[in-house]
Formats: sequence, structure tokens, C-alpha cells
Amino acid sequence: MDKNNQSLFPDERLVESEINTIVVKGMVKRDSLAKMLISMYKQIGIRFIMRDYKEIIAAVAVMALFMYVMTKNGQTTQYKQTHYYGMIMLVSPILYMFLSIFPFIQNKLNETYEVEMTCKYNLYQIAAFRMFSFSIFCFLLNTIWIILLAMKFSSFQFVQAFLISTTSLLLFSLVLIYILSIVKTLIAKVGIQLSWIGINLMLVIIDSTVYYKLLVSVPWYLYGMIICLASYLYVKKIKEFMLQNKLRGVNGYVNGY
Amino acid sequence: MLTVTNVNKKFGNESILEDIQLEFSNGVYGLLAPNGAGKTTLIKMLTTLLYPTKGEILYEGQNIFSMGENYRDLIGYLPQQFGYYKNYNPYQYLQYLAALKGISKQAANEKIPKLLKLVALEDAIKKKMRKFSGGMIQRVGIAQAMLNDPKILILDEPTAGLDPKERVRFRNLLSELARDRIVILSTHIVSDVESIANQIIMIKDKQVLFKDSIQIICQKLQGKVFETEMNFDRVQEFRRHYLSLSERQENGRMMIRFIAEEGSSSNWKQVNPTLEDVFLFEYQDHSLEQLK
Repeated sequence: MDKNNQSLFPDERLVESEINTIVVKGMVKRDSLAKMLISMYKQIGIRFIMRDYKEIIAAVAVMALFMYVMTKNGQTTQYKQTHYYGMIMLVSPILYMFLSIFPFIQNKLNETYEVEMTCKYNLYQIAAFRMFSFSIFCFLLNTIWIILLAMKFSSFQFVQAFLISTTSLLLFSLVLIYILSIVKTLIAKVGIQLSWIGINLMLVIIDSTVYYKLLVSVPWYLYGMIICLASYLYVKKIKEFMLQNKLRGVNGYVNGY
Repeated sequence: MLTVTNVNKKFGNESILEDIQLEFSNGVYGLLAPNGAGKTTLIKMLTTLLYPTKGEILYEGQNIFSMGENYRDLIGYLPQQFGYYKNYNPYQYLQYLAALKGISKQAANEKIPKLLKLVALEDAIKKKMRKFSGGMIQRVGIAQAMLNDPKILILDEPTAGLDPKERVRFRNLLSELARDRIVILSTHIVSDVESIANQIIMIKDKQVLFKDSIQIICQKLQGKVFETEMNFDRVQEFRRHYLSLSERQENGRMMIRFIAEEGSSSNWKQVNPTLEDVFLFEYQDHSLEQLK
């Protein structure tokens, strides 16, 4: 091979370095969940992420009032503890459900779906941010309620109630994020969630003692395992959900909307 | 450049668009077809709201669906049904959408008053949108589509609800904007695009019928459009033989613009075809149905 021909081809090290540069530039950087949430918070601001803050405050106030009334009246009406565990299972995710699904209902009523879905940060990315925040908030609110119940009733088992409440909230949150990923229509989304509430309500109404026995028969370590697994899957799914909407767009949802 | 390659769209078994091939570079593109021809479906695919059943849409060589938020960052979109939050004033709503578009608060606060002035809503900045007329809502929609200074501006039936003065102002605005971006304007109103579009895209029978300048499209009917005057009692019989494009009464007689394969009467005056003539000719059945 003569000198002219040799100079036409770069050496292997240069080729490899060029390939690496192209790959690094072409790769889509996958941020951590925390980084995505912080970036959204900075870019959009809490004012617009919680655009419906009046409704959020009203819903939290109603739930807090309900919890207060249940705790206060427990003494006079002599609620049995059997009622409480079933009620905790039922009530724990209700506020979360309302707060998470509310933007979708508003969006449907105001016909803002198409405009919001074609923005850089679409409705689903914001929904994921809100769901993550509300799951932490609802967990704290439920825990405060259980502490109050435990302080008031000596027979009330704080650890048992805490495990039931957290399991209920996390399982529901996990179901909800899967529903949002898979189910296309708003009616189906709301319907599936209401059926969760409906089944629990039915169990409380039909025979709260049997439901209580069922809930306390589950050993604490099993609750612990469910909580750990559900937390892991929930965070993983939230991240996936945000990333999916960030990278791929919204097209999967519209056909059935 | 935005390229649509071999795109098909089906809803279930029903085919809406077939083998769509289009290329867009800077300029105004008028997407012109009767209602139900598939304009909105095509627009929704260009805005990533719908997936094509087959084929791909590329922007600068990259699939727009893989680009995700990077593509959404480039587009401004006014949907046919522009929704809004009734308790917001236009300033608040634009601030909200600016945040979703990733525009900083400072940049948004500088841009929003200018845009509202551009669409002549500077006097209604603090007015709740629930009190707005259809035309005012539409103007907010146009303003929001331009918030992020988009490289691709997609407008679905943007002049609905605008009065004639607003329409003229809007057309001038689009011409100005199209100098350094792609503007795609979907409409079934010929006059919306006749004066401003660099190219017209017509869809018929699920496929692209024309994608050309108005001049070239109009040549299709060159030598076939005529005008004549006649007494009212002859009009019905005349309509049976020729496609009437427009009719008006003048000095107690009827002036008819129509299409014929060749001039067969000295009374007929050959005229230059317009885009509206081509539209009426191509969508004869649709036009009649829409008139009913």
C-alpha cells in the first residue's frame, strides 16, 4: 500500500474515539427520578403543577374533617376496633385517588387535552409528579390519623393500623399508575378506581368483623414485604411513566380518549 | 424539513389516510379539503397526538415520535377545538401554557403582552376567559401556539369564529411568521389560504390529490371555466348540463360561473380559474352535501 492510500484511512484509535463521540452525543441521557422531578419543579413551578390548588385544599380539608369526626365520635358511639381497620383500608387511598385523577377530569371538561398534550411537559408528566407528591402527603396524613386513633383508643394497635393503611395506599397507587399507563378512556380509569373503593366498602358494610379478621390474619412481615415490593414497583413505574411521556410523546393515549 | 413518508392511518378497520407523502420546508402550507377528508387526522399525526398505522414522520431526519419532548418543544399547535380554563384570564392561561412549554417565567412575562397585543387582546388581559367571544378565544389560541416561537406552527381551522377584519390580520401575521418556519394551516375555507399559502395540499379519497402552488393547481381547469348571463327561467335547465360554481343576480338576469369542457357559445366568456373553482370541481359531491 502506498503512502497516499494509507493517509486516506484513519488509524483504529481515531476510529474508536470518533465512534465513542458519536455514541455519547446520540445517546439519550436518562435522568434519575429525583432529577426529573426537580427539573420539572424548577421549570414549571408549584403554582402551575398544583394549578387546581383551591380544589386540593378543599379535598384535604374534607378528608381531615372526616378523620377528625371519626376519631372524636369514636368515644361516644363506641366504635369497635373491627370497624376501624376496615375503614382505614377503605379510606387511606381515597384522597390520593381524588387528587390524582382530578386533573384528568378537569382536562376532559375543559377540552384542554390536545393543547396540554403537545406541550414540552405534557399532562401525564405533570400527573406523575403530582401522584408522587400526593402519595407522600397522603402517607403522612394517614399516619397522623392513625397516631391520633392510637392515642385515643388503648385497644388500637398502631403498628397493625399503620401497616394496613400504608399497604392500602401503596397498592392503590400502584394500581392507579398501571391504569393510567394501560387504560385509555377516562371513564374506565375512574371506573376501575371506584371499584376498588366499592369492594372495600362492601366488605366493611357486609361484615366488618370478618374483614377485620382477614386484615389482622396477615402477618406483619407479609405486610412489610408487600409495602417494600409495592414501594419499589411504584417508584420504578412512576419513573418509567415520566420517561415514556418525556421521550415518546402522547400518541398512545389519544386513540381511545 | 418535515417529511411524511408512506403514512397510512386506520381507526379499527376503517382507513382514513393512505400512502401520504409530503415534504414541508419554511413557508405556508394550506391543507385544504372538505370536512371529514382526514385533515385533522393528518394534523394530529404531525403533532404526535396520533401514531400512523404505517409509515413515518421525520423532522430533520429523526422520527418525531422518538424525539418526544424535543419535538414538542419545536411545535406550536392550535387544535380545532381549543379548550381553556374558564376562570383564567388570557394572561394567566398563557403563563400556564408557557410553563408547560418550558419557557422561563421571565421570558414568558416579556413575551405574553407582546403576543396579546399582536392578536389585539391587550385590552382584555385581565378579563376572565369565560366572558370571551368565540373570536377572542380563537385569538388566545393563536397566541398560545406562538408562545415558544415554534419552528413548526400547526393550525387546525384557525379562522373559525374570526370576523373578516380579524381574518385579514391573521393572514398577514401568518405570512410574516412563515419566513423562517413551517406553517401548516388546515381549513375547508378556500379564502383562508388563497392569498397566503406557498403550496396547497388537497386530500381526496384518503390520498394527497395535489401538493403544488395555487397557479399550477389552477392550471388544471385552464380553458374550462366560463361565465355567462341568462334569464332566470333557463337556469335550472343549464345546471343540469354544467357544473355551476357561483351564481349572482345582475340587472334582472342571472350571472353564472361554470365549468364546461369547451366553449360552445359566443355568449360564454372564458375566465381564469381560481382555487375555489378547483375545490368545487374536485369535491363536487362534498360541496353539494355541505350546501344542503
